[in-house]
Order: sequence, then structure tokens, then C-alpha cells
Amino acid sequence: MKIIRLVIVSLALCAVHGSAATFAATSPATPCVAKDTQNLTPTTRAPDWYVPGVTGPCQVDKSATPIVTPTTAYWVYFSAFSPSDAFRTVPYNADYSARDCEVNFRTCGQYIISYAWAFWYSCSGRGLSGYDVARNIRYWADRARANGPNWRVYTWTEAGGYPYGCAFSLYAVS
Amino acid sequence: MCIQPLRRKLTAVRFAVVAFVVAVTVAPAVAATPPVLRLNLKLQTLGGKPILGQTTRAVVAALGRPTSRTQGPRRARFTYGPAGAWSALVLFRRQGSTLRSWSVVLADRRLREATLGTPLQLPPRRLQSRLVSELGMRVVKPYRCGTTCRGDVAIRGSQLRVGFGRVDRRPRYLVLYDSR
Repeated sequence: MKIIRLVIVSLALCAVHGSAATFAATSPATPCVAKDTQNLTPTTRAPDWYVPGVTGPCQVDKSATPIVTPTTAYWVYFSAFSPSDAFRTVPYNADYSARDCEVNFRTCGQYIISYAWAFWYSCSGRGLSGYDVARNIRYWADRARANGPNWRVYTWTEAGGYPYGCAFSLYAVS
Repeated sequence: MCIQPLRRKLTAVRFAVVAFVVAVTVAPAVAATPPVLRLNLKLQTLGGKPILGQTTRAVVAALGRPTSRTQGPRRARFTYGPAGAWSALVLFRRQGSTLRSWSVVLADRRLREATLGTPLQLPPRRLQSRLVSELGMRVVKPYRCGTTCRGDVAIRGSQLRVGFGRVDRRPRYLVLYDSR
């Protein structure tokens, strides 16, 4: 009888421990952005559990620390998704753009897609606020940090350069 | 004795005031209404002139001076019409040593197309079927609504494509672009 009790208790403890581990990756109680180089499904909004400035990467690659920390710099245009226009940047610059969008949603897109008005037009047309966009950018910046130094945040337009999608994801540079 | 000349002067002043008011109120309204653009998808012309693969100068010659333009070393963009109600965007990219137009976006619902009439007034799925049946295009990406509503068709025998759709609460658009 004692042995059966011990087995039941240890099974229960295992179950609690397992669910706690899952919780750590997804719940707001112990939040952090895990390394994930596989599921890069673009988003227009960050997940509900993500809190900008509070939820950081679970483990940051130290070599990803920037040598210089510039204020907002232009995102780099690249043609990997032609005939769409795509723009990418390093995580710390994405953070600056996120801050820009919190401060002025109508102008922040100038640094991101070189077209402030189109950025605001497309993102607000999708019902997003400057705060929503900023939060999403920060989320992807943290995911880039979690993944390693060669990961960039990127965003893009539909084919033909229009409309701008207001979604973000990650791109690995070689 | 002096009443007649005074009346004449008063009438002249009234006329001048009316003319001024008319000029101030009507002229901007006329200027603010851009002309209806005429697109020919078979010939890939806008206003009777080729629109893709053109230099910035050729586009200005065809469509006039843009309302706003952004030009960098690798890319450029011409906007026609005010920011909130633009009728056309022309996008350029560097090919060799010159910037050439590769995409034109049209969003004025009055747009006239030689075969389709007013394509931006057609329901998107109807537009897609007419692009296929009347202009012989091939569906590349069927029209559907996800995060955005969009469909793409290809012009047979060329690298050109036509995209169409709308961004949530924004007006419908049509984009003719080079897919290379």
C-alpha cells in the first residue's frame, strides 16, 4: 500500500514539474523569449504574454552585444523576397524604432520602410496603434537576441511593393 | 448728380468681390480633383504611355510632376495626389546605372481600364475572373482575405503581374508590377 502511495505521489510531482516547465516558456508568471529558429510565422501583434522591457530573451548571446549603440538608424533594404520590398535591422536598432513608434506613429516608419506615411497608413488601416506596433517590434527584437548574433528583425511589403504588411519576423544573415 | 457714377463703381466692386470669392472657392476644388487615369493592361500603358521600365524623367513626361517624390540611390517613389487620397504611386529601382519604374499602384476608384471599364469598382473576385476571362491572365495567388485581402494574376508570356485587393478600411487598389 505504501509503495502504491509513493508511486502516486511521485507521479503527481512529476506532472506538476512538467506543467511548470511548459508554463515557464509561455506564461506571464515566468516569461522569457525562448530561442526558436524554426517557427518564424510573421505577426502583426506580439503574443499576449509578452511585456516590452520586462519579458526578455531567456538567454542572450553575449557576442550579439553591439559595439556602438546608435540612435535610430535606417533599416536596410534587401531583395531576398523580391518582388516584395523587404527591410531588416539589428535588434537594438529595432528597439529604437519601437520607441519611435510609441512616440510618433506617423513618423516612425521613415526609418523602417523609408516611407513614414505608408507605414502609418497600412498599420493603422489594420487597426494597430503605435503601441501595438512597438510591442510587436520589441517582441521580435527579443526573439532575434534569443536566437543569436546573426539574426535580424525584418518586415516587408506585398508583391509589387504595395501595400506594406505591418508584420515582422526574423531573418538569419550568413 | 454723383449717384450714377457711384452706383457704377459699387457694381464694379461687387462684381470684383464675387469674382474673387468664386476664384478662391472653385479653383482649389478643380485643382484638387485629379484627372481620371486611363490604364491599358494589354499594352501596359497609363495615359497612353508605357509605364513600366521607364526612367523617372519618362514617367514625369507621361504622368506629369508627382505631388511628392522620394528618391535615393537605389530606389525612388513618386506619389500622385494628396497623401490621404493619392491616385497613383510609381516605384522605381536601380537597373544598371539608372532608376527604372518596376511597379505602379492605382487607387482611384474612377480608374478606367480599356477592357474592364472601372476595375476598382468591381468586387475583387469578379475582377479576378474578368482578368482571366477577358485579358487571358493566369491566377498566381487566388484572391483571399487573411491579414490583408489580396490576389495576384500573371500576364501570359511576360514577367508582369497584376495584384489587387484592399487593406482593411482603406480603398481598393490595383498594382501592375514586374515580378523579376
